[in-house]
Amino acid sequence: MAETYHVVRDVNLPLIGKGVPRMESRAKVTGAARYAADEPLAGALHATLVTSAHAKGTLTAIDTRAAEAVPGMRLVLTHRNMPALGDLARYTTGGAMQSSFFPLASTEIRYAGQIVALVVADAPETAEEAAKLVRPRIDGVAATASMHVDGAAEPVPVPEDRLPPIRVGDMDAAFAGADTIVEGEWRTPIQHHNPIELWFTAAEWRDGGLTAHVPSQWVTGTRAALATAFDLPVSRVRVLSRHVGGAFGSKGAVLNHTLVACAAARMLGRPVALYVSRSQMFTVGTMRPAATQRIRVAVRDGRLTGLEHTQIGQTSRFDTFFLPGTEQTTRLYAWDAIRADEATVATDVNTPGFMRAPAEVPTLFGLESAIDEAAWAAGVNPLDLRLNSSAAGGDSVSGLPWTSHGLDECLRRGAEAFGWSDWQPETRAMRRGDWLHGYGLASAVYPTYTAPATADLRLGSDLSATLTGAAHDMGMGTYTIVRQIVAAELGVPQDGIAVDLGDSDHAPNSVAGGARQAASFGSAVLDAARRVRSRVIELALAEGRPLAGADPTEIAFADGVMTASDGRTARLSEVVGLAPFGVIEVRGTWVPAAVGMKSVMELYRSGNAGIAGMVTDAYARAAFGANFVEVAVHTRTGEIRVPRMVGAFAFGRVLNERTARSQLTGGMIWGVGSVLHEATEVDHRYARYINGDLGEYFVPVNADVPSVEAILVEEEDRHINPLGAKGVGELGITGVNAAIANAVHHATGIRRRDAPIRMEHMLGA
Amino acid sequence: MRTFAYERATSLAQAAERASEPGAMLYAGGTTMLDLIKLGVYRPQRVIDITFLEDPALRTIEVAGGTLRLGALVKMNQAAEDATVKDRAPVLSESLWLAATQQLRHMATLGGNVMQRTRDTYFRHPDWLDLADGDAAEVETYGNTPYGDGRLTTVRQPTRLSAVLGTTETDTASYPGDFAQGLVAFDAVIEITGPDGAREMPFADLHVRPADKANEGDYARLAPGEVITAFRVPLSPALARSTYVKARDRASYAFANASAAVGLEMDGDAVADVRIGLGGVATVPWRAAAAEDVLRGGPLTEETMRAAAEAAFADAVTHEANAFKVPLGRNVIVQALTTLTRMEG
Repeated sequence: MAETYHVVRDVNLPLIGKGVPRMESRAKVTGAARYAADEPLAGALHATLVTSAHAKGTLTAIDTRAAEAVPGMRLVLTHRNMPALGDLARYTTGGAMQSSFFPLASTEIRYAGQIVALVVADAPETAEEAAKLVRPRIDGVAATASMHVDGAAEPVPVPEDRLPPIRVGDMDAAFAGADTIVEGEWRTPIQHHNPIELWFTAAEWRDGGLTAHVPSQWVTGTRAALATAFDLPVSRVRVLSRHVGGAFGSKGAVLNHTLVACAAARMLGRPVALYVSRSQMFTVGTMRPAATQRIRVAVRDGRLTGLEHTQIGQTSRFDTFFLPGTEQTTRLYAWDAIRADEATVATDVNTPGFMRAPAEVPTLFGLESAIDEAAWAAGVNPLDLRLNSSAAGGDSVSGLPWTSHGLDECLRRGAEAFGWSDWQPETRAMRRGDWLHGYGLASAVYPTYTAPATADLRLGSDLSATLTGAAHDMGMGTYTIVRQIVAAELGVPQDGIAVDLGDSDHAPNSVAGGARQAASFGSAVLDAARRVRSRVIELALAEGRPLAGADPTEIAFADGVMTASDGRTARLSEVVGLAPFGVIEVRGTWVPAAVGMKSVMELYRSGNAGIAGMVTDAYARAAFGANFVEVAVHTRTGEIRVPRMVGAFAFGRVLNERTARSQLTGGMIWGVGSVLHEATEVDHRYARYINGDLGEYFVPVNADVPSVEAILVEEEDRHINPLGAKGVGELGITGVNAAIANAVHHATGIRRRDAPIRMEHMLGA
Repeated sequence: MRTFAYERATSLAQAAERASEPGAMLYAGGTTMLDLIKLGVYRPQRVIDITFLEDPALRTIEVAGGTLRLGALVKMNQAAEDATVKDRAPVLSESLWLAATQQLRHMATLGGNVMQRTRDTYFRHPDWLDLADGDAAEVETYGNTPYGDGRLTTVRQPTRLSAVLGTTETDTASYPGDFAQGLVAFDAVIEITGPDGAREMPFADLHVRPADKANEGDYARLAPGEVITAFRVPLSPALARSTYVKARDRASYAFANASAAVGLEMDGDAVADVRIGLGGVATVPWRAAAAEDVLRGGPLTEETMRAAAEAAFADAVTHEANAFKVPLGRNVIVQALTTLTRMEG
C-alpha cells in the first residue's frame, strides 16, 4: 500500500531546514547535561568487570578469595552465584540482546575478553584493584578470531529462508557480451565503534522495580529485555538515557554487562554503577565484523551491465549474524543482470553487530572499487560510467520506482564542486613536491528505514509546550529537530518548547539505528503537532469563538497568532485557554504504510515493531550521495593523507541544515579512518585483539581532515513519510572508503583491495 | 586500592635520596608514567615529584662553550619553540614539534621524554601475562614493573610496530621517542645527580639494548635515585643544518613507524660531517654509524644516499608484520638527506 504526501505544501519547513544550533549545546559544554553516569545515585556501589585472557576453553576454577579480602569489597559475582535470568532473545529474533550467549551462565569461554566476573566495592578504585586479584583458571584450547587467516572456518551461505539470494537477468549473456570484465576479492578488517562515552550501567532497585541508567539507542527495547531478564512487567522497569556521548550502533542492543550490573544491585540491595573500560569495550560488546567481497563486474559500451557479488562476513560461533550489504548496493545502478549472495564465517569472537552503515561500508568498499577498476580497464571516466548506468528509472532488482532518486544529481553537483573535470586518466601524473596527488570518487547509498513511532505533546495556554518520547539523542540533534517541527507547525517560539527524550516511561519507540529516527519519530512528532493544531482550530472556529465560520483548512499559525484566510486573527494563547484546564495533550503516532498494524502492537511491549526498509510493495527507498576525494601519497614514506573531501547528498527534507551537515561530515571523516587507520588487529596465537585502546587503535585527528565539505542536495520525496525526510546518520561514511582507495590508485597506480591502506603498501610508489 | 605515597622533592639531593629507596619512582611531567601506573605496568610505592624544583639549571636552555645545554625539567614545548634551539639545533626542535600533542608537550619534560617506555602492546598490558604458563611471581625490580619473572618474553611477539634493529629473538619492542634520535646522533651527554653525587654519561649509553638486559626493568643505565638533570649537545655545523623526518600513520599524534634525525656539513662537494639517528625502527635510540661512514668524505648523490640507507639496515632482523620498516627506514634517511641538500649549508 502506498501513500502520497504533499510534503512541500503541508509541512511548515523548507526543504533544507534552518541550521538551528543544538538546544542542549550550552548544557553540554558547561557540563550541566546529564549523561547516564552523571545521574546522581545515592549510596551507589561501584563495579568493575573481570574478563578472560583466553579465547576459548573452560573455566576450571576462579579464585576470588584475594579479591574478597580487600577492604571495602561487597561482592564478586561469577557463574557460581549469578542468579538465573529469564529467557532472553537476540534482537534479530525479536528480543533486544546483542548476543545469545550469556557468559556468567556457565563455565564456557567462547572469546577473549569475555566477562568472567563482576567485582563490586564501595569505591571504583577498590573494585578495579580487587578485579586484578580475581584469578580465573581457564583450560584453554586453540581458537581463531579472524576470518582472514589460515585455519578459519569455511563460509556458510546464509539460509535462503532468512535471506533469498538476488538473481536478476541473464548473467551469462551480460558477461558474454561484455567488453570489459573486472574480478576480484576485497577485504575489510574488524573495527570497533569507540564512542567517547564508555558503556555504563547504573542499576537501582526500589520497591521491587528497577531503574537503569544506560547510555542507549533503544530505551524501549532495553526496558523489555530487563523486564524479561528479571521477570518484571515492563511497567516496573525504567531505562533512562537523556544524553548519549556517541553510540554508532554500539548502544542499540543490550549488552551482557548491563544484566550483570542489574543483578548485582538486586543482590546487594544497593545501587550499582558499572563502567566498562576502554579496553573491555573491544570485547564485551559488538563490533564491525571483518568481511570479504567477491565481485565480478561487466561493462559494455561504457555502461555497467553485469554484477556478481558475494559477501562473506564474520560472525561468532554461537550466533549467525549477517549484514546483507548486497541487498542495498546491487540497486545502485541499472545492471542488466545481477547475482548476489551472502555467507558467513564463524570465528571465536563476540557476536558482531551494527557499526555505522554496517552493511554498506564493506560492500561499497568492494563494489565501488571494482567499478573504478572497471572504468579504468574500459577507458571510461569513472563519473561517466556511473552516470551512464543510472538506476533513476527504477530499482533494477525489484523493478519498483524510487520514492525519489538523487544519485545522479549528487554525482553532478559533487563533481562540479570538487572540480572532477580536472581528472585525467593517468596515474602518478599529479606530483607536488614529494607528494603524488590523486582524485577518486565513489557513490554512496543508504536505504531508508522507517518504523512505527509515537510522541506525546502538551501545549499550555501560556504557549509553553512539552514534547516527550522514548527517543534518543546520541549527538545527532534529535532534541533540536523535533522542537523545530513543533515550533513550525504551531507557530510558537522554540524557547518555550521543552523536549524530554531518552526515558522508557515516555511514548514507546524503536531503536535509533539505521538512520530511521528522524524520519520515524519526526513523523510522530509532526502528527502530534498536527493533532494539537486540529484541536486548536476546532476550539477557535466553534460557534461564538473568534474565528467562527472560517475555513479550517486555511488557518495560518505564526508568532502565537492564528490567522484565518479572511484576515481575522486569534491569539493562540487565548484559544488554548478555552480547552479544559487550559491545556491540550495529545499522543502523536506514525506507522509506515508498509508496516502492518498488528506489528505495531509489539512496539509497546518490546519496542521491536516491524520496519519498512529499502523495498516495500510499492517503492524502492534510499538516500544517495557521491564522494569526491583528493589524496596525497608521499613518494618516499608512503604516508597517505586526504587534503580534501567533497560529498553531495540527497536524503529528502533536511530538517536542520547544521545538524545534518554535522552528521555527514562526521561520517566522511570516519570514512578516512575506516579505510586508512582503523583495524582491530588480532594476535592469532591467542585469538586475541592486540590494540584494544585509543593509543593503539587509530582514528583520524584534526590534522588528517583539513577540508571536508558536505553539499546538501534539495530533494522532495512524497512517498516516504509526511515530513518527506529520509535518514542521514549513516549515509556520510558509506562511499568514502572506496573513493579514497580509488584516489590512491590515481595518485600512485597502486590498487589496494584490502583495507586499511597504509604506508607499507605505498612504498613501491 | 593500590596506594602510593606522593612527595614533593625539596631539593635535587633530597629527591635523589628519596628516590633511591626501594619502591620509589621519580615523577616529572607524568604523561607516560601515570598511564603506566593505571595500566598496572608501574607499581610504585612512593612517587617523588621533582616538578617543583626551582633550580635554574634544571629549567633553562643556554649555549656556553660551544655546547647547547638543556635542563631536564624544560618542557618539550618550551624547547621546541626556543629560538636558540631552532637556530642551532633544528633537528631537536623539529623532533619535539612532531611528537605527541600540544597538550602533552606542555606537560612533558625533556628528562621524562627520554625515559619513556616502549609502546609495545604486550609491555603495556600486563594481562597478556595471564596467557603465559606458570604463576605470577611479582618481582618488583627497578622500575617497579611486574615483568621480573620473564613471562613477558614468552608471550610477546613482533607486531607491525616492532623494531628491526637492536632486537633479540624475544624482545623486539621499539623505543618510541623522537627527541632522543637527535641526541644520539649528535653525541649528547647527560648530566646526572644521584645519592652519591653528580656524574655524566654519553646519551648513547643511557638506554640498554635487549641483549644487555637482565630483565625488563633494566631499560636505562641509571642507579636507583639518579636523576637526569640536563642534556649537553656539542654545537656543530651539522647540528645547525639538521632536520627530523618522521613517517607515521596519521598526520599528528602518532609515534614514528620510522624516523630519522639527520645533520649534514659539506666541504665543497664532499660530506665533511653527517649524523644519522633512527627512531621507530630500533629497540633503543639508534645511531646509524655505518650509514654515516658510507657518506663521510664522499659526494652526496642519490646513489650514495641509497648506499648509506642500505648500510643503516644491513643488520636488520625483520618479521612478516614489520618487514616494511626496512624499506621505509631507508626511504626516511634518503628523505632527510634530500631535505638537507635543499637547505643552505
